[in-house]
Amino acid sequence: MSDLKILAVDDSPTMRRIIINTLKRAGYEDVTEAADGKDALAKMQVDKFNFVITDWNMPNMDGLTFVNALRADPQTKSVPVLMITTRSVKDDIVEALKAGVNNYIVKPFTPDTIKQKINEVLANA
Amino acid sequence: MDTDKKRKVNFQQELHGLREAVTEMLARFHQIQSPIRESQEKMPVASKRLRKINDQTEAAATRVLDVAEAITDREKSLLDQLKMVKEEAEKSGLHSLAEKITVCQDLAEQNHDEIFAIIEAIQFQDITSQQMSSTVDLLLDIESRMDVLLEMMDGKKRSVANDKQEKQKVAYDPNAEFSTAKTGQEDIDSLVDTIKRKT
Repeated sequence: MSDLKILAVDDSPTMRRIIINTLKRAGYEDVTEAADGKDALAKMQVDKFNFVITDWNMPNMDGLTFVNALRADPQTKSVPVLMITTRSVKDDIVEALKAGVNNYIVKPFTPDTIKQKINEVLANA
Repeated sequence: MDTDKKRKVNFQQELHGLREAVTEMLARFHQIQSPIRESQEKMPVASKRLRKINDQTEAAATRVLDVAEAITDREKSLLDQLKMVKEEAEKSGLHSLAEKITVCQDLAEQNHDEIFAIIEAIQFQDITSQQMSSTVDLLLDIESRMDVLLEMMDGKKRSVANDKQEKQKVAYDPNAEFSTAKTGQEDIDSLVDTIKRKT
């Protein structure tokens, strides 16, 4: 059983359930949901998460703004971030990596991919 | 004198021609107003229908997830029970029975894997939802432009519909596509590696 405490951020309730199910299948049981960047930042003030999975396109606060906010805060600047999004063009990936995203998954994804990317991110952290 | 008279007649003819042209132009102007108005009135209907499709596919996806999660929980319990029964069978020397239980375990594992494949496939709903939101925004844009055009034509100010204000509340990727998971991710991994090597 993994000791990762994961925050999963996506504005689609369906997508959040899929991510949570996929993470459970990959062995990650401790997962909290957030509906957008604003909600995620609020939850990060209350609880200590050691891994974040976030979407890009979200209302109120999008994924990139959220990641920039994480990196600007000394308390959260080192938290590993995996972005899961439909955006797949090179400029988007460059922008995400510049903002501080550690790795990038494009939807639709598989449990193997999410597990592999989490391992890669943790190995390089 | 004749020249003046001739000039006057030509001028009158030109004025007459101009008046006819303007009358015809106005008639055609009124003709196009009607189809523009009709199209503009249909836009909110189209946006509403797309939103309804979105809501209904989300409801269907939620229902599928509810059932899939219930099945995976049951399969997990079944696998746990089969494991215990197999251990008992082996302890009791019932090896033939233990073999049959292994077959049952394999079938249950296959069911478990396939239910997860269904859960993964439900990701289509997020992607189609973004595509539809993009289309709704496009319709709202066209509707706004038609409002401006109609206002110029008839001078009547059109109030901003609630739908148009809702445009801001939905975030989406206008280029969202449902491609095969493996191929899409391989391309992304390659791009990420290249970018990381350059920085």
